[in-house]
Amino acid sequence: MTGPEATAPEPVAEPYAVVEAFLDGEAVDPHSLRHALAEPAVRDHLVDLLVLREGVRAITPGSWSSSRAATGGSRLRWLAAAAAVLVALSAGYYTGQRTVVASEPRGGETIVAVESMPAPPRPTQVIRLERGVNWTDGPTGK
Amino acid sequence: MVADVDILFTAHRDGVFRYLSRIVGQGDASELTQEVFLRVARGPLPPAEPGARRAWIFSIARNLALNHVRDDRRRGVAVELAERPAAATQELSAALAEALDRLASLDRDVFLMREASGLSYDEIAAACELTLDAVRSRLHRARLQLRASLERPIRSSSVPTVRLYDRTRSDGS
Repeated sequence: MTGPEATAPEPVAEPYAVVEAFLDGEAVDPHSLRHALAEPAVRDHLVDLLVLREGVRAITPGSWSSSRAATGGSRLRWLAAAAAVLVALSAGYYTGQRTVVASEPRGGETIVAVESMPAPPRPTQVIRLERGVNWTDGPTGK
Repeated sequence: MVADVDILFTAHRDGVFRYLSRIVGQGDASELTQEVFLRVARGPLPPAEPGARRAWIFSIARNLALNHVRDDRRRGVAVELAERPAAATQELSAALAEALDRLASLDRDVFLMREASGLSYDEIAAACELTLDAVRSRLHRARLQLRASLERPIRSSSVPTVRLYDRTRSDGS
């Protein structure tokens, strides 16, 4: 650890220690408190710390439950988004399962859904091939 | 055991939440507060002295906050006002939020445990593993630093009233 974390702070001067302990609800010697409060600088310190305390109150939430109520709207939005994602994932998974089952090969056969295939294009010209003209049979039969 | 945890949760959740909210921000503090008490529920409770238990709960909260900041590199949002403060305290509140972030983290922890959560010096010492003198010194140093940083808003703010204690924020110990 380096920097201010590791630095041991200076001991607190007596009048300030007393007045801060009083401020924090710790037990203090009344004679020491009277003595400390006799110093104007210490009185100023006390009043400034009280003002500071009001500032801290203003920037810290009152309670955990009110914070939850305040953030409840955004939480609901997150829950709704999470639910939507879950539904989408489930639907995708279900659809995927059905597709896999339908397209699984059965006994090595390839199933072609003929109804769904597009019609072939019509021929634009016809070429007729004649035996003896375009080809002759050889010893191998072609 | 469950009843004990329930009592501890009711008694200390607000103090833990206020402390955490200045370190990790209010949204994450809400989640971390629950995590603190989940850990409390999982582990064996320390001896039943209220102060000891509160210090123990805050030591868990502090460790979780340190991990949170370390892991996510998230510091408390510089200017995050929990409630809409009165206009008189707005400048002070904004400056204070920034000044708190500039404190050494241990000094800030000690200050927030005292000012935001109301822990005693003994409890802070136990929670932060410090001696009583070290708690006094760090608290004093944090206050001096904040007072120096905020001299103008402190003196110019027209905070309507000041008080030693806030009875609406007592944490049941």
